Amino acid sequence: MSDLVQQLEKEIAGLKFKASKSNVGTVVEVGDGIARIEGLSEVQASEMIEFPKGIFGIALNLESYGVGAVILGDFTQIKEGDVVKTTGRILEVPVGEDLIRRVVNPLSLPIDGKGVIKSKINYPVEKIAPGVITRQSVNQPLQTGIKSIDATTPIGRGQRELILGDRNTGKTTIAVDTIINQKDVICVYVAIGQKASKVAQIMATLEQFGAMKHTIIVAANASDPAPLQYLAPYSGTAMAEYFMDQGKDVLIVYDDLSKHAVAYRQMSLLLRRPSGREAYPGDVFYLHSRLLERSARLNKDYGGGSLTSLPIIETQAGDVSAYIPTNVISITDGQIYLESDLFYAGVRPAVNVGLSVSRVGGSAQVKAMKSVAGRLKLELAQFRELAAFAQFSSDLDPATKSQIERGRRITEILKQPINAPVPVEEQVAVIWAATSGHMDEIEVERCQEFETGYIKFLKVFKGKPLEIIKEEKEVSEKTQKLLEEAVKSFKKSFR
Amino acid sequence: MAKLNKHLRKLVTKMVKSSINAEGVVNAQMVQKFSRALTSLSLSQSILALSEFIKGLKREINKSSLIVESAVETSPLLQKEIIKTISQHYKIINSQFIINTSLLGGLRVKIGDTLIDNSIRDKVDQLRERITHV
Ligand SMILES: Nc1ncnc2c1ncn2[C@@H]1O[C@H](COP(=O)(O)OP(=O)(O)OP(=O)(O)O)[C@@H](O)[C@H]1O
Ligand SMILES: [Mg+2]
Repeated sequence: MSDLVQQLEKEIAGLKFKASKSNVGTVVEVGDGIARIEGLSEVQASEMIEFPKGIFGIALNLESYGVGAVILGDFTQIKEGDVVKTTGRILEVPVGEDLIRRVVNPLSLPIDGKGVIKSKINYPVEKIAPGVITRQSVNQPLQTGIKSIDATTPIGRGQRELILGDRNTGKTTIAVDTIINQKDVICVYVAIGQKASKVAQIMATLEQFGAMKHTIIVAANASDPAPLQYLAPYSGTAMAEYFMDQGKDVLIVYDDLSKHAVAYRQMSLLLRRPSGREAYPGDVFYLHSRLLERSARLNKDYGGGSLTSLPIIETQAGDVSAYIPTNVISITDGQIYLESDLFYAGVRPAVNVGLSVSRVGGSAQVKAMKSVAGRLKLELAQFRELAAFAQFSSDLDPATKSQIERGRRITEILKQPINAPVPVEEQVAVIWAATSGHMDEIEVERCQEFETGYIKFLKVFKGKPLEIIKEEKEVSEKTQKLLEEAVKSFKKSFR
Repeated sequence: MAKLNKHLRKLVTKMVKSSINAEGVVNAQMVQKFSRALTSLSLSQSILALSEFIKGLKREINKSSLIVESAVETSPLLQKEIIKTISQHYKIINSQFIINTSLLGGLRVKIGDTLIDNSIRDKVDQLRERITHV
């Protein structure tokens, strides 16, 4: 108690009263979380403005006689004629360690009922991306624990990798499983325009796998006003940047940017901005480019932290040429493309390996994986082609036949259930076995069973090949001999 | 809602500018002349143009209107003093003095879009903001 009094006294003593000078305007129209204000001649774009009753807003449309602004709070309290003030500040949100394990809204207010967040540090929600001199190239892997991704589209720390696919193709699952697989990486999961029940389910999953202890969830749900949904990814990024500035590696997931663009379109229509293609305002490209530019790998002089982002886009009937998907594809460093056909054919995760790319992750992939997965992508692509062709012909030459059989087995071992990330050394051992032909005589239906047994066997095998791979991060000739020995003796018992 | 066309909108803006002289004083003759010209348009365009014209004039006048609020009545001498001080920085064409007891004390001055608040009320608000953040 006396502590509080002391603190109050200190605060009051430090307060210097000044006549406050501000630029003001008058609300001329209000509704749907949007206000049109006359005056405010000195306001800047994205500046925070103050309505009566302590409600804040952001100035967005600067016009000759006033501004269009979004209201962050209860807009029903605001009426025509209210006086609005500039604040001279860009919107800031509390950030810091206290947010970890928590579910907050885009203003950093808790929505998990676990009490107030005491953080004293604020970060601006909009920030200029780190410049070239502060950056370093991506050369450290971010393991997703998902075999098909780590092997064929590896992601590096500081990279922006887009996850795109139709609805219900497992996009969120890939992001959540990647978060589950992290140990030394702080994660921020930004939910935009989703059902509250889905977000609660994601939190429960993360909690169940002990992943909330390194994760912040920022949620603006479907029932929240469009301005909050618009703000969510920017505030999430501010929270992530705090940790990057501490020299930590951070992963942020934006789930999803399609809904974010829709929220922005709604706001823009209310602000009566001219609209263009698919009724989106002209600056929708900038909306996402300025967000994703903030992902970076800082160099030693700047603390060496990194911010990796996994934006998610939902496509309609697999159409990647729609406005928003093409925009985001052009901004990111690669994409993981999920396909409904694969998903329903039981290939899950439904990654289309041929269409998925990672433009910078290759240099970050661990050597061990590179050596065994090098030809994987090509082999799978050839397999798909041959398999399609094989449907029309009955007599195939033996070489083609064996290539198809190999492909079927590789496809099988890249399947993976949800919430079951695989450590990289196990991935290496399994992919090595499949690509080097050791599984050719295993029935396709039994490949997954074989995989499970084989890994179990390797864990207790005398030479400890898994530990060696983990240690050396490569597959030396000696290790390869060891693996060969192991797989042969395991096969004898596998019948 | 019908909209004023671009060309007409530009014209109205020009009319507003030329209705007010360099000192910020409204020229009544000019206003009359322009209003008459605008009424010669088609009815719907004329209504829109005239309301735009009036809005524009109001905005311009507002730029040089001084509003002073105080908790207690200000003496004519003080009023003169206030106008003199403020006109060193801003153009003042008309002024208005209002009593607003909710300020508790001190003055709140508004000229155009600029608000200078030196009232007790504002200080109480600053104090409240400070201690609620502890
Ligand atoms: N690898 C997998 N194995 C089995 N089931 C999976 C796998 N991945 C996803 N699923 C299931 O598929 C369903 C859809 O997954 P998810 O919610 O991740 O898809 P989404 O693309 O994010 O969907 P939405 O469009 O609704 O956001 C879920 O029930 C999930 O459990
Ligand atoms: Mg989803």
